[in-house]
Amino acid sequence: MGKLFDIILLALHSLSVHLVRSALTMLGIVFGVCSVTAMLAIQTGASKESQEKLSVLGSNNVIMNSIEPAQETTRDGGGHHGMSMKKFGITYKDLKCIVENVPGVLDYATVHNVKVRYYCPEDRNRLSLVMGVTPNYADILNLRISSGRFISAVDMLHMKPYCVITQTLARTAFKCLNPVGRTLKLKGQPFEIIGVIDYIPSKLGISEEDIPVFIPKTTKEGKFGQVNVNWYDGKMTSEDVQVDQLILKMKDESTVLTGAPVVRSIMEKNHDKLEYAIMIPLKLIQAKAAQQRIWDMIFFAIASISLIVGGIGIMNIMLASVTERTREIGVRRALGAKKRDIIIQFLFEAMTMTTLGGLIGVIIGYFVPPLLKDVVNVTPIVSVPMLIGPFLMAVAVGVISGLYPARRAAALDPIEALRHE
Amino acid sequence: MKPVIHLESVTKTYHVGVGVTALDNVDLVVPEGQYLAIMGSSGSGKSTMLNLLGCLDRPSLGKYYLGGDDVSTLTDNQLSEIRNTRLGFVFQSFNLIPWMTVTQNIEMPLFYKGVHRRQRRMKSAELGEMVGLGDRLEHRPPQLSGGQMQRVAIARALSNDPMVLLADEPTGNLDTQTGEEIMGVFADLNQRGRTILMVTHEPPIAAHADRVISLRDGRVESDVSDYYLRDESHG
Repeated sequence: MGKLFDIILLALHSLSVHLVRSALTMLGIVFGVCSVTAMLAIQTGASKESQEKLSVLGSNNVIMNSIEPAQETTRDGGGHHGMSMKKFGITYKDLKCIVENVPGVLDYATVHNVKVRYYCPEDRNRLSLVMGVTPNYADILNLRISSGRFISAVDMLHMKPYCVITQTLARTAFKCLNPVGRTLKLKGQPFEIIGVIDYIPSKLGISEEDIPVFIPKTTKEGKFGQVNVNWYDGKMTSEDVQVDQLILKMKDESTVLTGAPVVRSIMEKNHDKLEYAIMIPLKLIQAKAAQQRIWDMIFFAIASISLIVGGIGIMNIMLASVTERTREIGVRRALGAKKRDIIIQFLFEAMTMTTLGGLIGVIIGYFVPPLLKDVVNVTPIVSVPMLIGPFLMAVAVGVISGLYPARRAAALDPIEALRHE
Repeated sequence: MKPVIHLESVTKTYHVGVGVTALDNVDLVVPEGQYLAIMGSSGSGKSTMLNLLGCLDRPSLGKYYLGGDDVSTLTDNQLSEIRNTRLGFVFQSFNLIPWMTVTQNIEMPLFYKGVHRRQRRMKSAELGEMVGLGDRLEHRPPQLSGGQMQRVAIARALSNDPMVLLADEPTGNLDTQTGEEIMGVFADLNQRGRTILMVTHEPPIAAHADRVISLRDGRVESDVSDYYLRDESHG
């Protein structure tokens, strides 16, 4: 044991003699380990973020949107000059069929949209997407209320002129994060702001740019009517859509998977045109996770390449070192070093470089990813296994890249080695 | 006297395309305390002889007894141990490790023997002192002169207290005067009972030995114990 320790000290000594060379060789491993760690951290952070965004939609939900059928003007056949009536989308009949026939539907929320101009003293009047919703809308979609409250059943019942806006609108229109209690005019009618929600899940089909404003469904019908009339390019168009969005809350993930085909077949029976879209967040989440795994592997492979390149560098230097020190090896063998002693010495030199390089790489890898936050636009997550893994890889690279040169050194014929110039 | 080295019809053949016989049926007995020189021109087999005697190689045929033990059929590991414990090497080009200090060079055989660091240090300091380099123990070989380097090599060869000191042209890289100094050290060691086996091609160097054998084409051509007298008579 004492001898092994001595040989290890000897290896360290010979590395310290060629300090610059050892350090440069080590650098390859430092970068390799650092990039593996950083890649893992960024990847984990990105993965977590996208999973979070999707999970807001609710893995137990089935979301259906009415869409305008392509190249289709009317359902009731034409219209007068300069005016057309569009009637399409999900109907209350569909809703009834679905609720009655699809097993596992716990709850549902309907959304009824209208585009109107809004006005508030601090902002120009712009077109906003007013969404008449039922009170359970926020619960089903897990919307986070940052201040105030969401629409209640009482608001619904009394057709209250209340509205809930997004943080983006609060910032742009009111220049503050908590405009609760203030008034927003929608198509000239005053609405009191009762709450602000964090953000709208992007996959929902609406974005912050649409400027969504939530009001009770009953209020929407009372104030803006069922049919939406728009003036566009001097032409008046009207849209009659019964349900713009239908969100079904299923019992669990398995009923989502069994119920979704039933929903689809009901819709196919009731509609001969594609005027609806069915979205299943669970499938999106699963697809995203599968995609994520592929990316994980690709990134890991790319990052590993730099580690492999570092390992090749080590092997190269070790081979050169063995050639350069052939005479030394011959002398050691002549004076009684066994093959094993030579292997340990050279293997340990390689391993010291990779272990030390790995350690430095891990330390840098721990501190660097958080600095990349703004560059890569995600918050990298560094965890302990993410540091231990690449470190062990570096140690393994040391063994792999050191073994061949070490064995070559040990296999040298002492007589030949002593004669080497 | 008891033989330290005993070669019994040793033959060494190499197969480089065709078989080459480097040593042909050589017998040699070296008693303890003898100072033997091996001479011969290049290709005479003296390098092969030294490699065999130094346990760096094994005979193709015949037996080699070192200190009474048959070492002709040992494994690589066993040969390493024999070299480590029974033999001391002095080379023509010193073969010191340039990045290690004088002490570290001297203690190398003890290092591989597994001797404790502190004992190694003591022994190497003692031997460094003995070869007259007590004030250079922490120097590195490139800072030393040729003669000093060879003295370090001798100290290294002695550190494991070997049965035989094997020297391969020990004065080949030194000027005449320094060479004579090194021969003085050898004579001194032999006086104190050390068995020395030296390979050289220079008659004046061989003249320091008690006994000189000459090799030619792998065979012992002559074996004389009064070489220095003959050398003088030739001169």
